[in-house]
Amino acid sequence: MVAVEQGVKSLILLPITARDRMLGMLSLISVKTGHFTADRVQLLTGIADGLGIFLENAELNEEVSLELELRRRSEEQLRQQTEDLEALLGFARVAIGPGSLEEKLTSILEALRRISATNEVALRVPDPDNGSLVLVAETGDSDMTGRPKALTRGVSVKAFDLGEAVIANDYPSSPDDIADTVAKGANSMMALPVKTGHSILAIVVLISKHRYHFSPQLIARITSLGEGIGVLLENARLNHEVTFKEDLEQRRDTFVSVAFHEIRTPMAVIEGYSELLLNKTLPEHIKQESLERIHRNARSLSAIVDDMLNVSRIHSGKLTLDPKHVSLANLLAEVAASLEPIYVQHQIYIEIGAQVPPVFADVDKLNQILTNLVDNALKYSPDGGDITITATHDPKRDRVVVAIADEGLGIPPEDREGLFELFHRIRRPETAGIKGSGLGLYIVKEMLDLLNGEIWVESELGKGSTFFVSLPTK
Amino acid sequence: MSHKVLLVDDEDDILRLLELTMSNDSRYSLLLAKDGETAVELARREKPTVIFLDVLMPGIDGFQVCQTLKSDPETESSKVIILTALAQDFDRRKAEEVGADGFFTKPFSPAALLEKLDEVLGNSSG
Repeated sequence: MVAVEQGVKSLILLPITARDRMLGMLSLISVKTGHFTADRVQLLTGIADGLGIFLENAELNEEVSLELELRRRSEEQLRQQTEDLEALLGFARVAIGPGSLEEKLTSILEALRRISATNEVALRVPDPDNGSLVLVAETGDSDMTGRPKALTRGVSVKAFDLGEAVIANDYPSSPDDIADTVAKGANSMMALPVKTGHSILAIVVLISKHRYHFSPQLIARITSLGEGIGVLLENARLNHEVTFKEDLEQRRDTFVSVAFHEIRTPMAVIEGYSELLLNKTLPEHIKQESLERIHRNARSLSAIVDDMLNVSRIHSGKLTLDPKHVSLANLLAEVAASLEPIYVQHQIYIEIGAQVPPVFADVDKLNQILTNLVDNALKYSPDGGDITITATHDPKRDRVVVAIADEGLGIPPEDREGLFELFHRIRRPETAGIKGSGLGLYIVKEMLDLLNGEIWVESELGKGSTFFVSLPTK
Repeated sequence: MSHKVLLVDDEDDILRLLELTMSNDSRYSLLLAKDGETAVELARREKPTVIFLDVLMPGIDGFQVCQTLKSDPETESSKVIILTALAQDFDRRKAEEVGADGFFTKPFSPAALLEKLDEVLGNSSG
């Protein structure tokens, strides 16, 4: 009725079919009566037939491209599955092949890093004595490796506590971030518990420099590989007949043997001069000189033993922290006052900016860190000179930066590399006679890691060095 | 006759201990060096009978010094006694490899060191 009211006088409906299948309807209308003559109906029927063929082809094409897309996806899935399977077979070959446990683990981690296209992969195991997660193997870009030895917080610890994978795809904003790791350029992190039965054997930590690196697909792949790693780690461990605990103890033994070497020199001085004093009739001034040397070396021996105990606590994760807000003005004044009487030919200046807030740290540990750095600045300035300690606030990162500058010997570039490593000492003619155990800066770095602090150095040979320490304010 | 004895150690306390241990005996004339380069230079110039040689020093270490002196006909006859805080078997073997005539570990007894010196000098003069 509506069509009539609108002036429609002629109407034709033509079915569009293909191989007896109705695909649609062609409808045409005209305002003229008798518009659809026999010729026109024939022409339009031909067009409707043509449309049928056209539509059928279009439908087929769509089906084909859909099929191609599905095939492409399944091929990609197959490729990934093959790659994962090859990786697992590779892990198995590594696990039963020759090499130390550490070499095997590194090789497995490297395969995982390649597949996940991440920048660093590390493996941590729980220390049953204190619950910290201890680094046993790592591999990755040179600017990313060198992760903290023992961790008591962070994404990996969270994964261990929860017993499930934790992903921080915007790591710098994560509540579990560690400042040093952010400083190294980490933007995404995934921590995956590796289980055997119900117990967690280890945590695999994957780090990427890109934000949102871990897509749901990648997480699923890594998780399935992680399950395989668990079985293989258990086998590797059994093959070696060495538990991870034993591995840690082995590291401690190596530490003890190197540490013994460090204490032999002051022991030699104490024993040697004592024997001279006991057995020889020495002139009075030589007796006095010998006693002074014994006293100095006894102090140095005691300092080395203290340092060794600190290293041992760090390695076992037993270093307890009691962080509070600490005013740097008081602390730095204390540090300077304790050292000034020993180094009479130096002047220590302290400059603290007006807007510097208190730092959030364990006061005893921070005292130890700053004392060590100021003591180094004094020791390595044998010809005297000023030591200037400045504290400034970096409002952008809300951190306080303490700079300890000396006018001493400076550090040659080749020695800056391993400066914070265990037992690293600069052995140059100018440093002969400067006592040290090679433990101090290592302890400083490890303690700062625990305090969410950072340390770096700038130095010019013959002009002096500046050590920078960045600390959180909350 | 006075024997030249070269003492080499970068630790001032140890060098002075060696010096005090031997300085009262007129049979020895002492030479002191605080690093490997000076030790080689003094050994070539002064031809000491005995050298007490530390290992870990700035620049060339004691093992390298020993090897240099033992491979040079001018200095090979100097008796070299390694005096070191490195006390592992590996270090002992290394000392033998570079041709050292004796191996003493720190801490050491000054009296025992003098006995060793007498023994070496007895052998070298006999």
